[in-house]
Amino acid sequence: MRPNILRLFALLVSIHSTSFADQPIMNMMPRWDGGYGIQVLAENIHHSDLKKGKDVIASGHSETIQQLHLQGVYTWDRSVRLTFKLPYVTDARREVPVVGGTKTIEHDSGWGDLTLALPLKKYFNLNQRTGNWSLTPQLRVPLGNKANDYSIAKRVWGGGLSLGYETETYDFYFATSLTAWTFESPEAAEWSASFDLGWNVRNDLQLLWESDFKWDDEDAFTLSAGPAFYWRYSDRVHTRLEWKHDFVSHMGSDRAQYGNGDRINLGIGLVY
Amino acid sequence: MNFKLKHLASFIAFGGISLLLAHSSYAAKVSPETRIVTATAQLENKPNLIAVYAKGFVCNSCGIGIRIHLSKIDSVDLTSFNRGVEMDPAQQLLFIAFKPGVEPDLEVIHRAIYDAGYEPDLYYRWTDSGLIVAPLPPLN
Repeated sequence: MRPNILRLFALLVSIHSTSFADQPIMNMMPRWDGGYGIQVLAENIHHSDLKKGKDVIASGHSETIQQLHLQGVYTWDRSVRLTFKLPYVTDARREVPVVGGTKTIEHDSGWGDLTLALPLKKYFNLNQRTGNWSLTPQLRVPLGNKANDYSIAKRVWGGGLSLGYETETYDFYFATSLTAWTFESPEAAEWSASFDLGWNVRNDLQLLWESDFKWDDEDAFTLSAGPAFYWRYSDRVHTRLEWKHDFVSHMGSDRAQYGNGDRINLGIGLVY
Repeated sequence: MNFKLKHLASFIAFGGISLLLAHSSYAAKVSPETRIVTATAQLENKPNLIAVYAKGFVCNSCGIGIRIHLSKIDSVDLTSFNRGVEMDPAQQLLFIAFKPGVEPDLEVIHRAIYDAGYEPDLYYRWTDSGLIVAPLPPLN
């Protein structure tokens, strides 16, 4: 009986997408011809509650995902880049309610799905300001592990398209983007919007406030925001620390999902 | 749905305010005159240096490709500054050091900065008659 309940629950609980829209390296480099880079991000995501719609259906039943992201970029010229993003789940665990008020713990680990992107950028350089418009087709390749019913990877093909605008002055940075993803059945299509505002504290240090708005066609949506710190150690070595909190976390009304989350992410990138 | 629209509207408002802040920040703190003052201070009596005003060069981190490209030019003196290049994003100026006695190829400099993602416009150089300011030669 119990395995059947667990299996049914696993089918009802959706897989939480952990993809994010930023592109390597730190979303801004390299803009020079022949430039390339690689970055590694360590990410910790913690969802506090199991929710359905706006309601918490299992308070204190949490999900914690720890993963590494390996990402790379090559810039042919300033207008054409190719990027890849490959996550590796070092450990994911979720607390699953079972009949009788107890809970059991499920785990997942292994490679996630590969994302390939082709950011096409139209740069403008003005007196005291620079920026770009971008159009980014993306492809999700289902490389993720399938160890059991609990899997962080979607394991389906997907196609995405982003429209973006960035501008920067000596003091401030602003970026916004709109992204749409569609996936093979049964995964829901997703849309997201982001607004980032940065302050260039020093030539090598930028403080940002980043906000993400995300929803899907199962009526789930999340509003998350938080600070980010970018530090350039040298021309080659760049680091970034980011924390995002879910200020609004509404799940789909048909499926239970883990929500009310926080995400912390520390990255180091090398460019050449 | 109304709930979504309310949050989307607040996001758009936040984004609009952010954009206004970002755009308004480049008030006229920098002018051709301030660049001349900065360039003169750095270049005076140093004939092996030139300065270049590059449109859009406002950020050191994004501009590191300029150093990567310029430092590949044979005539650049890699022992000066940081691999031959000093960057001043506040004034959108680049200072480039050349090996003594070598005449810089301005078109090659133009190409290197352009390929790094920027639009070089003017160059500054100290001569016997003082500071000269002139457009860089166009790219072929």
